Amino acid sequence: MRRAFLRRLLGAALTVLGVLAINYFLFRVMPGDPVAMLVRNPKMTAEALARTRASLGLDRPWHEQFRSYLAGLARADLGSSFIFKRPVLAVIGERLLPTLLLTLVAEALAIAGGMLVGIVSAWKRGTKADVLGLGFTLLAYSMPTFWLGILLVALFAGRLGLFPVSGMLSPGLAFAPLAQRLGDVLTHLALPSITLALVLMGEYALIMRNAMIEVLTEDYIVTARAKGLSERGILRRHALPNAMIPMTTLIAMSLGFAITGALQVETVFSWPGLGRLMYEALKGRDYPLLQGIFLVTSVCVVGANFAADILYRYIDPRVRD
Amino acid sequence: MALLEIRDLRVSFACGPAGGGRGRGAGAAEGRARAVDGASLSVEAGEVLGLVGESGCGKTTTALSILRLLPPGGRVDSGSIRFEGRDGTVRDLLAMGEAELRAFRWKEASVVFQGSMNALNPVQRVGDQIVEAIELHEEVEREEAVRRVKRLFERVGIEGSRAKEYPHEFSGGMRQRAMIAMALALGPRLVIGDEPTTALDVMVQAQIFRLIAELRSELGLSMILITHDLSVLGEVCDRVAVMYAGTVVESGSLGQVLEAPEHPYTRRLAASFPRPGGERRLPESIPGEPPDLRRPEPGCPFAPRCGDAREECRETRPAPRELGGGHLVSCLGGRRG
Repeated sequence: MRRAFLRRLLGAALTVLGVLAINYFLFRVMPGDPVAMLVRNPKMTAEALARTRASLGLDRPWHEQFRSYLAGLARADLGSSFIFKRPVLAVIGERLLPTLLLTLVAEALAIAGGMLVGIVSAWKRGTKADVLGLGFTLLAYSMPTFWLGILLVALFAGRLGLFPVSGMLSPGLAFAPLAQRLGDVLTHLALPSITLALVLMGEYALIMRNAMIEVLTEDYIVTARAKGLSERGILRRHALPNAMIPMTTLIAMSLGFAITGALQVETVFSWPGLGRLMYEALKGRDYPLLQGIFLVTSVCVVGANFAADILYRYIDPRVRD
Repeated sequence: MALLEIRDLRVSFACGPAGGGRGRGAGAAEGRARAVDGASLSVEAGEVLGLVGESGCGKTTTALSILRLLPPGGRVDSGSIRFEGRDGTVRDLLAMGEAELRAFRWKEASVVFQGSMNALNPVQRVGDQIVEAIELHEEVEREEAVRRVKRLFERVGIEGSRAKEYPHEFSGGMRQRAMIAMALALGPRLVIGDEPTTALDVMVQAQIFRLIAELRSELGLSMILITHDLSVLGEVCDRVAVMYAGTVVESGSLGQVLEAPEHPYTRRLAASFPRPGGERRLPESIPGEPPDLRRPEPGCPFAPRCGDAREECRETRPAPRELGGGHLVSCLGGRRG
């Protein structure tokens, strides 16, 4: 058990290192010159351009640049953002919380809703409840995220005026009492998190439904019924624990991607999160910032897989040794 | 009365249109296959009844109907299943309500399923699955239930400490023993064994049958033992019921049915099993195939394959006829000279 844990941890670390190297060179073969993006002044002299280039360290050979990048990483220094002119870590840090708030709330809603729809659909398969629940989630699932977001804004923010259109905090509330700020953030959170939840829900509902339908045909369900368990008891004690095995993988994988998965929603709702930051960094050819975001993403994805691996041992005794 | 009495049971399953869409729909209930078609049998208290017949003849369906465990699409169309409870009251199991049914299951009649591989929940400890059954029907402390599971395990030949393990840590034979322990947990009046030794090797089969025989004399169990293997019958059964195409064609004591079979199907079935020490020959098969359950014929279901069938056999369904000593046969043909 302990050795398996260490082996997986080592594997995860190596994966992150590999991703790191690929990301580094990927951005440098992309077309577009960061200095040109930064300066935007066609009359700038060649010396001035060279000076800017040198100040960013872009004049040195690629292997030297890579080495100093790795050396920086070892000191937890991700370099300085070209466009924000501040340490990458600080820029990412202040965007991390809003993103986590948005995606975690959305994921929680999606997982709860998706599982509920999936369970009911499987239990009542072929009935109206099944068709209705499945139809609704499939519809939301196949809708483009930005389109669904715009629709919700138009209806609930525009026409009904129930929620703010965009942003995370109303202007002028930056120094308001905590309770007031919290309430304001929640009203801003409603639409983007619901949009994201609706989009994510379909996948959970489908996988949950399939897993349940498969489990419900197993012999041990008949055994449970023969023992005199109620339908609810069968569901809770025998069907669900088995159906949760494939669901756990899906949940862990989605959570890994959640940190940047909200790019479209964050852009539509001007939510100050990592997804939008990535979009800005890409537009500005901000290599250090992009690398930083990708590093965070990779660590999250690899970490989520690692967590799923470990969690698996608790929900499925068959993989324990 | 007997402990269990099944009278004229009819069970059907939803399936595609009869005749594969060839448009001969007028016969059976449309789109339903008659898996059990007028089966009658009884089990006396303390008796082991062997239920034999080929695959698809309705053995398992008949047995599952007792606990009302038919899979989706299955339905009891008519008949009665009467069961004598501990207190001597007789109930029709087919008329029981949901709550009454749940209280009846496992407490009065339990099942040892076939291919126990999947009959146990893979993510729950084996012991907990038995504790669950006990706690469901009796007001006991958890510790007491756990102690009982340990005793049950030891009785069926598994170390009590292994109750904490999961099904995949057990061998096939151990899983079957655990399943038997689970079936006995509440001291039911009837245990249904649905091919309890299928998929086990011969040595383990023998061990399981020895265990069943021991438990049976120890606890005075009544059992229905479903099998398609005639050689199994002699080991534990008192009486035998032979099923063919959804009906019981012959029943009686072990000697009556196996040594002096009266129904042409039973005769062919008995002849198809080689006897150790007998002459060396290939077993005879029965020409033809079982009838299409989607289109029941009015006559004897075995008539198309029967060498002695008369015109009458194809038109009238034979009723069970008593030959004396509890030997019942459903055949119009007289005793052949």
